[in-house]
Amino acid sequence: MELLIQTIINGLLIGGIYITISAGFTLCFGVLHVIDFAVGEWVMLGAFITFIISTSTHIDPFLLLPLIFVMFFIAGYLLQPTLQRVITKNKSNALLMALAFTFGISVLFKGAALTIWGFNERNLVTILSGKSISLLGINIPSLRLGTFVFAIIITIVFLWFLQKTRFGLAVRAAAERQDVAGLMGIDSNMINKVVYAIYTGLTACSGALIGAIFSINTEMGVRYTIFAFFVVVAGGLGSIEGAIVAGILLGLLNSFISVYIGGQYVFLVLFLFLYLILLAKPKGLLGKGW
Amino acid sequence: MLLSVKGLTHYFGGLRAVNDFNMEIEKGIIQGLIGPNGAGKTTTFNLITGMHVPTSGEIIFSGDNITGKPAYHIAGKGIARTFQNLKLFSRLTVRENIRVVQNKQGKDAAAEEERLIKLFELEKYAEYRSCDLPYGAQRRLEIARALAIKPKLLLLDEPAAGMNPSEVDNLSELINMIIKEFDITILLIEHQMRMVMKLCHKLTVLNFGEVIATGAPRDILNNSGVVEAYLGKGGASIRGKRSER
Amino acid sequence: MTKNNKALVGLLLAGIAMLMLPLVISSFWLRIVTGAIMWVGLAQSWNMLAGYMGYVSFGHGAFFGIGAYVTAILMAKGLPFIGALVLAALVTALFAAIIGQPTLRLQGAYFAIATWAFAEGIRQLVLVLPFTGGANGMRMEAFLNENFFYYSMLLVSAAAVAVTYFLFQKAVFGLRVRAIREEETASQALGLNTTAIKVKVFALSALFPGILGGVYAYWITYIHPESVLTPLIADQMVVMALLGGLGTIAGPIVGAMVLFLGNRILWVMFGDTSFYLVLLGLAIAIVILFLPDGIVSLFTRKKKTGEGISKENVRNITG
Repeated sequence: MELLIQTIINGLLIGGIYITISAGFTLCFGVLHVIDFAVGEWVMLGAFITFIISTSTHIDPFLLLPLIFVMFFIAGYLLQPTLQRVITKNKSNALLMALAFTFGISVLFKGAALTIWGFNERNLVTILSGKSISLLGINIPSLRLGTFVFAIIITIVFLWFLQKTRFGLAVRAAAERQDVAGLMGIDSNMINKVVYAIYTGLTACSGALIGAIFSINTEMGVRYTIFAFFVVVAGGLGSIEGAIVAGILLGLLNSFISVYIGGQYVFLVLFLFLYLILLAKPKGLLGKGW
Repeated sequence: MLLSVKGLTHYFGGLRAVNDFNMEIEKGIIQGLIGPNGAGKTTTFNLITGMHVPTSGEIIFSGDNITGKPAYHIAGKGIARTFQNLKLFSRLTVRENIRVVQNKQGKDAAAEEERLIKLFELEKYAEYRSCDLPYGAQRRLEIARALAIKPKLLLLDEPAAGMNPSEVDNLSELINMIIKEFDITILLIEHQMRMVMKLCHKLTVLNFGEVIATGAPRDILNNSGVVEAYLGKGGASIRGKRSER
Repeated sequence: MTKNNKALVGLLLAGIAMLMLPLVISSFWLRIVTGAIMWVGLAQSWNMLAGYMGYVSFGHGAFFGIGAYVTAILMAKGLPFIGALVLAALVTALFAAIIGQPTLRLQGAYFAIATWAFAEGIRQLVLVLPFTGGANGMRMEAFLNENFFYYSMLLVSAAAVAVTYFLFQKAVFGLRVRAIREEETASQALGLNTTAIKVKVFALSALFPGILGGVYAYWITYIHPESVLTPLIADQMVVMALLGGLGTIAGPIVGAMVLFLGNRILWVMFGDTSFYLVLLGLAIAIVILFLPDGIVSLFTRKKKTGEGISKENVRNITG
């Protein structure tokens, strides 16, 4: 019984971070109609940059989150016009060319990271590392709780931005129809750039959080590409509600498989699950995707 | 009867697109299927050609029940169609567009290919990719391509869409030519009422997924329900009737 | 001499040159050329599916791996190489046909993600199956005859190219495949059994990688999931075909040669380097940005587009 509760709690806590990764990713799909193959590499880069800044300045990774967001926001903002060019130049199969393009970007990022930082594992140390809270016999690592809280805060700020600001309204309109946003007097190129920038910023922040929990290495990216794909496919491409549900589901699935079946089966089950969901319900488990 | 459709009903999610649709088509005529936008005309085409599987109802084509059969099977039985938004094989040449759907290759097929290209005045474009053709030629090619599968029934989905009046007249002549040259029956969806009145022997009027009238073009024109559905004035009352149910 | 005859003579000379090659180059370079030829076959197989039919698979490396593993497993059971290879080819194609049936219902990016998930699933499966050696992989008895492998790869890759030419470029079958790429619904509505065609193409495009995988396994004598099931295999097929030119017969050949030889030259100069990935990634991005029709599009003039059609009509078409 304790093991069961422990497993559920672990799953929920890690699921929070998956939500943060997928919220931006799915918005990026909804507005730009781009499936970014490099999503996992943004996570990896976020983790590495956090590690480098944190070890050289001795600032706690949690406090670095705003800086990381801004840095990657700028990176995404600068990269997006290139991506936009791919989309507008290949109108007939934009989705695919964008997928192939971001795939190239992901290979580039990974290669660059391997070349610069090599294969060694690194560990991000935070103020919460190694501590834990005990509650009714259930052990909750403070770090996981902390990252969960941060992930939820980031996601809530993000949702607030989408729901309550004028710019957020334009973004949601753009997700429905590209031309409507233009009618609101907001440049659609601007929206595209900002959406992509928010996505890279959010993803890098979740990379920092993930880096705090697990060890960091240059090959970690593909794992989170899988997770992001899993969440948006299960949730339905472009659906933020779906992504939240599927993020939690992924966390739970992850923790249940490792505890009850065995860690080496996690990816086998996830890939099979992803494949089968696609075949059975291409619009996501909630049926809200595109 | 070449085609008889009985009680055809189709839902998209919870939305009823076609409801208890009945229609019979005699061999050798041009029958029109008209109705305002969103009335369910194209959905009906999609159901007859097997692109959607109907929720209920029956489609009998020259004695065979083809309900729910796959699209290629239905095409093989002898129903061909064109599309409201052209669906040509863009990067294939005109010739290839025709050849690719012919189910037998060889001398006869090659002769038929030539004949279609001539009849539809596509000779000078024969080796061009279909996406490089002028719009009118693209429309003609789509009909020629449909005829290449040697259908008994040809479904034309708004062939005059995007055409100017003189082009529409040419198209009318073309359709008359098809009826003469080929042993064929045509079901036509069209908004150009002048063309429909000129060409069709019989009309079926669809509104909100239901047949509201069937008959000779003259009678249909005098039917107040049809006029209301089109002019929108009485559209409200029809909608009212619907919500009462 | 007509243009056709010239091409034929050229092809014949090239063929003879390929057959004589082992006599004139060192075994070091022969190994590199063997590798390049293998990649020509892989990229061309991927091109059948993606270039001609428009279904972009991100998981085609799986079939290479399946071919390699089935060959290795059967040889471990005592079968001779040729027998094992033939069975591996059949298993791969059959497997592709079974998987293809449901997967090919998906389109565009959904298909791409599904094939990727499927291939990664296979890699994970090989890691946990009892008879594949897990992460440790499998060893085979070494057969040290470079010429044998050169000619085997040459035979299989040449077959892949020939199939592409005769079936996809020249036959009506290829026309139907391209019709599916252009307008799948219209193909169906006009009587093409698209499901059957798609499954055939999928199986065919898996068959050659399966055979090449089997030959590769015997050549390298040691396989493991990170060597024959790494996502990098599918990645390179994609890049080579895109780089050379999708949906053309020359494209994948050119792309494979350029990329593989480029890779080997880097390797000769700098050793095993992850910097290759940087260049690979850059190459993909740049090709997609500036040369979406590939290298061969630089050499083929656009034919018969727009000639004799007035600007007005062109506007009508696009508008």
